[in-house]
Amino acid sequence: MTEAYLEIKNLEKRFGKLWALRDVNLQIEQGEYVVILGPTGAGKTTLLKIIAGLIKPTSGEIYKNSNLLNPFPPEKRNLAYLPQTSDYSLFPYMDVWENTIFSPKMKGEKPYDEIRSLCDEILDMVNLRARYNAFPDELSGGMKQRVALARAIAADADIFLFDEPLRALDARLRIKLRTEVKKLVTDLNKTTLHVTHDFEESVSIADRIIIINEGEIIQFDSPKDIYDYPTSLFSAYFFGETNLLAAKRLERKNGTYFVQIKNHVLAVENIRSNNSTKTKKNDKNEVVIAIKADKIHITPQNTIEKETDSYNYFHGVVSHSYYLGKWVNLEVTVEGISRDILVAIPSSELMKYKIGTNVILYVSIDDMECFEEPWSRIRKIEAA
Amino acid sequence: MPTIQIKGVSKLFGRIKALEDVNLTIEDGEYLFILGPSGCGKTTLINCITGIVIPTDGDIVIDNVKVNDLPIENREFAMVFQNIALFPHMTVEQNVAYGPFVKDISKEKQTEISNKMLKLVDLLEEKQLLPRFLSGGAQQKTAVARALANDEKLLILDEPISALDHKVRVALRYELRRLIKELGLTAMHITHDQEEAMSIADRIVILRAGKIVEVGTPRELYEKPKTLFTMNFVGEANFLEGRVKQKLPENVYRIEFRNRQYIELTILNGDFETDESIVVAFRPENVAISFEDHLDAISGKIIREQFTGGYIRYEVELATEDKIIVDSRTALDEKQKVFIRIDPQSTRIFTAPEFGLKKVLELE
Amino acid sequence: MIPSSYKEKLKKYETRLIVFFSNPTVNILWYGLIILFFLSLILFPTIFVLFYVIKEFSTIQTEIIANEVYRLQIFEALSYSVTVSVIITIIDLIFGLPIAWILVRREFRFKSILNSIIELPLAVPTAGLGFSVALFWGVTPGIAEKPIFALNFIQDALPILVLFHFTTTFPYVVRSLAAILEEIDVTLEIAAKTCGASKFTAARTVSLPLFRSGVATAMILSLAKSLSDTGGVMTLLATIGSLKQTGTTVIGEWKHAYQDWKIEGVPYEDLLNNDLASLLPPDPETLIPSMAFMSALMIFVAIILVFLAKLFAKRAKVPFRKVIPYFEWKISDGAAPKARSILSFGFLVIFVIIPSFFLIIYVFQGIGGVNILTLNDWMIFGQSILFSVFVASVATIANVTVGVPMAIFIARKNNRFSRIMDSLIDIPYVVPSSALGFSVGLFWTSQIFFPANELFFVVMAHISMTFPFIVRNTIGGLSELDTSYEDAARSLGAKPIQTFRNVTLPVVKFSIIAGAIMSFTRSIGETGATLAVSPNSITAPVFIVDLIKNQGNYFFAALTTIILILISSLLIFVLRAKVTRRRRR
Repeated sequence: MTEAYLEIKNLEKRFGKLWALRDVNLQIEQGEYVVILGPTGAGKTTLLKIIAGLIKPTSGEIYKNSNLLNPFPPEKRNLAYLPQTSDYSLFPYMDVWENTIFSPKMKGEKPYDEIRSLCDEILDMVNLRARYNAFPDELSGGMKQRVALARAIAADADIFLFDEPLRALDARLRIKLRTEVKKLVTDLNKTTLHVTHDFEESVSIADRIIIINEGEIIQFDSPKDIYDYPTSLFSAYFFGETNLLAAKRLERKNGTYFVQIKNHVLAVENIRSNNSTKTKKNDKNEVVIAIKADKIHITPQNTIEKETDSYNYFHGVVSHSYYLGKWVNLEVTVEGISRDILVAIPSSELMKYKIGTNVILYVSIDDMECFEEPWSRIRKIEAA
Repeated sequence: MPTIQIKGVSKLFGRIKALEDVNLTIEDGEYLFILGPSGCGKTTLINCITGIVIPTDGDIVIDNVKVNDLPIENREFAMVFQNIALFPHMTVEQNVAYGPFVKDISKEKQTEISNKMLKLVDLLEEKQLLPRFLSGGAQQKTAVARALANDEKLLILDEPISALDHKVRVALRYELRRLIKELGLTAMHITHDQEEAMSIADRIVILRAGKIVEVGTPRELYEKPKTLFTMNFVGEANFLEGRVKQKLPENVYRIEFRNRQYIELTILNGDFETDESIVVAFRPENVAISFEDHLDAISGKIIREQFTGGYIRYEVELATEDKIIVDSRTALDEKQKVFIRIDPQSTRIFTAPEFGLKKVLELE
Repeated sequence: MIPSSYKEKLKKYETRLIVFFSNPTVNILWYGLIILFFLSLILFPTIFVLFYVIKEFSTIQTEIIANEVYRLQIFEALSYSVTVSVIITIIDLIFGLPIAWILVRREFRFKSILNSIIELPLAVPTAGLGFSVALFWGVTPGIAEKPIFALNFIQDALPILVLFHFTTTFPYVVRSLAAILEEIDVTLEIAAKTCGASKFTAARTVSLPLFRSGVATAMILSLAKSLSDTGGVMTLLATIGSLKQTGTTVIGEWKHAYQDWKIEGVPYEDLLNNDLASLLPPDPETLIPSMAFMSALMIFVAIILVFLAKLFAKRAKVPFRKVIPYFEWKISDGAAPKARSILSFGFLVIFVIIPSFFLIIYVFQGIGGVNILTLNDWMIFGQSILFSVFVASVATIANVTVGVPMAIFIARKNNRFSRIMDSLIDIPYVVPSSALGFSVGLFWTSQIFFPANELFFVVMAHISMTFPFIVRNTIGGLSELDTSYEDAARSLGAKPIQTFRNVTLPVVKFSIIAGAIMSFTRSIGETGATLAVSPNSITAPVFIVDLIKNQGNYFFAALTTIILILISSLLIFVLRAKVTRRRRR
């Protein structure tokens, strides 16, 4: 096994009585683009600031290239941290050029001529050379974002730490810039940690994703693995559009697990036990099923007859339909299930599913993720 | 019943034209979105309607009454704000009952109204809390309840969910639509988030640099946009610049792209002349990748792929040197030599813009 | 042209300095030193008198408290101070709120003018202001040629003291209220209006309840300032010929008498024969304990009042139970707001602006009086001005040097120690200036390390007094600058001191300069503390007081005041211009 480039061991952080981070262990390879995904207050920013050296951890170690970073102040760690502010913390009294040369100038290791040619090159890279003497408040949001990138690149840091670098931008611009940011950084072969709360953003740029909630790392995997094989209810819920259904556990038959929602008996491949210490063991046989909205197969009722001997079929009626451009989200009311089931279909099939259409839903046994969790967790997770 | 007419409204700030001759009618019971990038004038437009800003030119007519000079407190509408603006020193219940309270309605009636509204947004259990103890989503729901408690038929929403977490945002937008439709309100919602607008709007107005670019239903704008800007703004799209080489029968055109690449394409949205410069625009999900050449295909190679949830995104470098994105629901084995086929049904052809494609597509 | 070799050398030293200061040990030592300096040389001397009173309590008991006539004198002066300051605080609040409101929330044609004239009186030294107010309102027996427009009708001390303190405190109160009101989100009021609230209802039920901290700050400001003023009260009462005393002026008088007796060798009997006889104790040795006792009482009263003000602001319930829509709509609309604006504007002009600058009319009318001034007069005049400028400059420079690091410590090092410092910073501000001056003098004369040098004492007293201005302003600037800028700079490789110089300072420097300006003007206008430390140190305000009280030379006093105003404004102007020129764009 190769040595990890950035390694975090048993990291914990407490603010007074509040746990901000618990038992964080991470290994990140050189050149990886890792996204930290979680809701507000999950501890994402705290983790980034601890790595940057701006907050001292309560316990635990951080290694870069096998060197312990803990004793070093931020300026000696050679990590470029981009804080989460609407102006990207560009220094307001410096123009684009002064902002870009800030880091090499402060470090004072290179002669000025070298700094100048380097920074000219970087400004070319982000397409801002023409605006080198503009002040941050004269630039548009996207330009500011590029100056911040240029400033970080000029620092020649080993690792980039981006805290919601796209948050202040318009939604459409965010979509355009996220891939540009990634390209720029990976072309330089830099290791990057990128914090966001946006699932789509994370999935469209990440090599690997860290899902974090309430200060704990829930899952750390490739986007596809998290999507197809969530290891916990939270990562199933938070990653993509997911239906959570309360069910009761039944007897196991022929190696297949069965669960029941009112009059529906469903087959699932596996029931993941709850090894979190926080929730009490439930003895009421309560389980929660998670199904991704785009993994549900839908057909108009008149096209096929229900195969009575198979499981995981539902009869329902389309109650709402939301047009999203590429997708259409249908809400399907199924008898016996208290909440509507969300089904995502390509918008080319929109005409087949008008509101009121009777439909049959089918979910393959592989796509039924089942977790041993009390039903009360559903409301708790969704309310957060 | 509320209808809003905006008649030739312009607003100048010094020499800067924030709005230029905006004409718009909002029908009774309609959920209308104003969508545009930062600085497009959408906030100014809302401010003109609410009375925070007085238009330089034109009239705002609500229910056939010209309201240009009325101050905010005398106009009849309820509003939800981007920064939520709950009164921090009042409980959730007091916040919701604020409208009835300032009208000096009896205490019992106040409680009745606030209970009803809190029930609508499912926050009855939290009614004794101060807003700061609620999550962002719950705070905004409280603000919506406060707005609804005024019993106005017109609701104005000023980027109500832009500042929230993505997951919360998605959940809240459906709830907003449900409430507005259930109560039969006329609503005007401004946002920069095209996905938000598309998912719940009855009609969308696209605003850019103070002018209306296009008005239409979400489907019209996504599938049959009339302008290049809309094509790009309401969702991701690929644009190929080319030239009509030859007009063939039955709306089939022979088109030349860069590097002498030719395709034959049926054009359904318009008539073009030979030698006319055009832009072929299509969405990433409306492209087929095949492994054989066709008359309507361009060759290319896949240079990047990324799993993105429901589909896989391929970045393809075409023989025309353009890079396009293709979203496919199935994984491909062969990556080196592929052919891109453009579906004529979902492709839009535009006359090439005068000042360059880049300028037209600019998002800020 | 600086030779390049010299430049390189300078750069080398700079690098060395950066490295030196980036050493963690040096860092801790440096902050330790600053805190030690603050505690032992700024904070402790200002409240040293409390320890002295406890130590000497038996003397005070037998000599002062046991003497009924004398005791009554002391308590009368004290109660006068308290009465005036409480009345002023209430009036300031009642009139300050609407005016601050208008300044922040309403747009009208004269707003920018109003905004700048409200700051004008701040440049007038209170010694001159007292005289000016007396000229405008009061019956002035000593002045032969009364200026035109003088109202000339108030004879009693209490009403004119209230009017005077209103003039001095009101601009401060309005400014601080406006600053805090500015921070309350306007959308809250807009939200209230969209819920059907009238302007008045929105303001009353939404913004006002959120305004508590602002109310507390404003109350403390007017309490502290009205309890403190000495020079102005002296010139004011002298001009209307009243012999009334307040807590602070009593200390000044005693110190003066003590000085005359102890140093100048004037027989105590002679002193007992003049106007102030009733104020003086039978035994001259009792003077020091008397001053100590009075100072301690003043400090005690000030702290109690500040505490009560804070409590009031925290507890006071704004009437919120009910709305009377008809009435509240009525006063929000149509002619009512306009009438209110005009009324406030006129009020401000009559009670603040005209009284502040009334002495200009007086000087113009009697401009011929310049001729009778002798060379000697001008010599003393020049000396006093130079002395004032000197003391104020030294105090300001010293305070910037110590106060800025202190502010960084409080605003950026978020630990228990910095929170304690945060609450201690304001003490010198709350302590009435005469008490502070006396305490500082007492402290420095009772120590053995430094030779007794009165100039040094005066400077130290001014440093103590103006220290909070620099620190508070700098903290204000720092808290407006998001720490993320500093975080970004650090992680981009800048050492803490480089971060401060390149990132923090360019933003905070405006606040520091604003603090320095406040500190300088306060120091230049200060009478009480100077008198209580050393009556022989003739600063310009002391000179003005002397001219009015002892020589009856009103004209020269007014002239001196105007020249002092010009010097302060010139300095402020130059500093501001320099700052804004450097600020790009």
